[in-house]
Amino acid sequence: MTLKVSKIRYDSAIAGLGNTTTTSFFFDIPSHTVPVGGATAWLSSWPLDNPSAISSVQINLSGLETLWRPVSGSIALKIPYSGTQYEIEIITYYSGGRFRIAAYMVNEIGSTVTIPHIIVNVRIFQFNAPF
Amino acid sequence: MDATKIKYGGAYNTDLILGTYSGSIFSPAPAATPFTHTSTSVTIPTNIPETTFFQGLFSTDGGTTWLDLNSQTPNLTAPGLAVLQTQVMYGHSVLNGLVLTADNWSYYNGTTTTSASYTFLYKVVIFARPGQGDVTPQPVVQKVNFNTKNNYQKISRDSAANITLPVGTVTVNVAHNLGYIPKIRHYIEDFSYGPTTGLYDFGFYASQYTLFNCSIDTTQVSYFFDNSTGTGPLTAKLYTRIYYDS
Repeated sequence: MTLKVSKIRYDSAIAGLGNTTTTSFFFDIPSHTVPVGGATAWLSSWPLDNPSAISSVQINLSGLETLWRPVSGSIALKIPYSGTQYEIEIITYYSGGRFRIAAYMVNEIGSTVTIPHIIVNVRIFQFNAPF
Repeated sequence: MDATKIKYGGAYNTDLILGTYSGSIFSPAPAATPFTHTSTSVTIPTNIPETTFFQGLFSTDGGTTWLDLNSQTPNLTAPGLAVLQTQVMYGHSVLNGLVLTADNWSYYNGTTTTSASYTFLYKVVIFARPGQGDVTPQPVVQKVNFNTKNNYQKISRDSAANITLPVGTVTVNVAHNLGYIPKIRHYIEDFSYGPTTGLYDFGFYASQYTLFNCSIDTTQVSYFFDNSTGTGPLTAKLYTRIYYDS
């Protein structure tokens, strides 16, 4: 049997990705100084109902911008600040039944940099796949 | 009517699963020298003569912990150093197949380097992209395909945009006008910037190239590509699927 799938809204023979749950939380990265070549890391975690469900993650760096950014596993962001920029890398993963997120600040600028206070807002969309 | 309150409505498009697959990839240990890795791939036959959307999970500890594709577990044994490259799996869709790649990086703590072999377990699902042609749906490992008690992810709109990147910067906006920040999925196909032709999760590119970014506000999804130091023109098709989920 072949089907023109894109013409179908619903077919009982084809499963859908469903049962979305959304979880929101945030964590603080305080203002601090990072030396040249240095890096600092923050790690936070939250329990999830179903760690084996596929997720989609969005983050918002409150204090720097109003937009939300989708994160697929990990993402490195160049953040402009006070005429220069630094890099924040966000990593998401599961461990011990909890969703975990790590934020790294890496100073590759060539001089000591002061990182402003940032609140990392996090949203997780989960859906069950028929595994 | 508030679409986000409806558990299932036949008037709304949803993701349509074309197949699910599970298996494993053995990844040998890389050389115990800094910043080296082994890269092992497997191609899953889909028997669909087109690329498809996909998403999946992988585990490197025998199935105790599952991570989304593109994720990695940071090594925090030396928190003064940002040790980001550990074990990661990602994929790309090709004609008649889905290629999964397991990268196994050595662990360099600034002084010494160690490495180990891993068996990557994976579970992936392929689902229809806009404009998907004739396919033969593959069996899925679940008796109940739809349950009206569940709030299926309803699609607000699909965008499939052909983009061209000259040497310089390009911004691509996809309007949704929902008035809130929606959930999205996004993929990019046939992008000569990438390692191999195929359809990739946009997040894979965003994690590889910091000059490719995506952001979402209450009216649109914005992509920013900086190809200032590259070659051009580069061409690609950018898929953005916007859901009603808020």
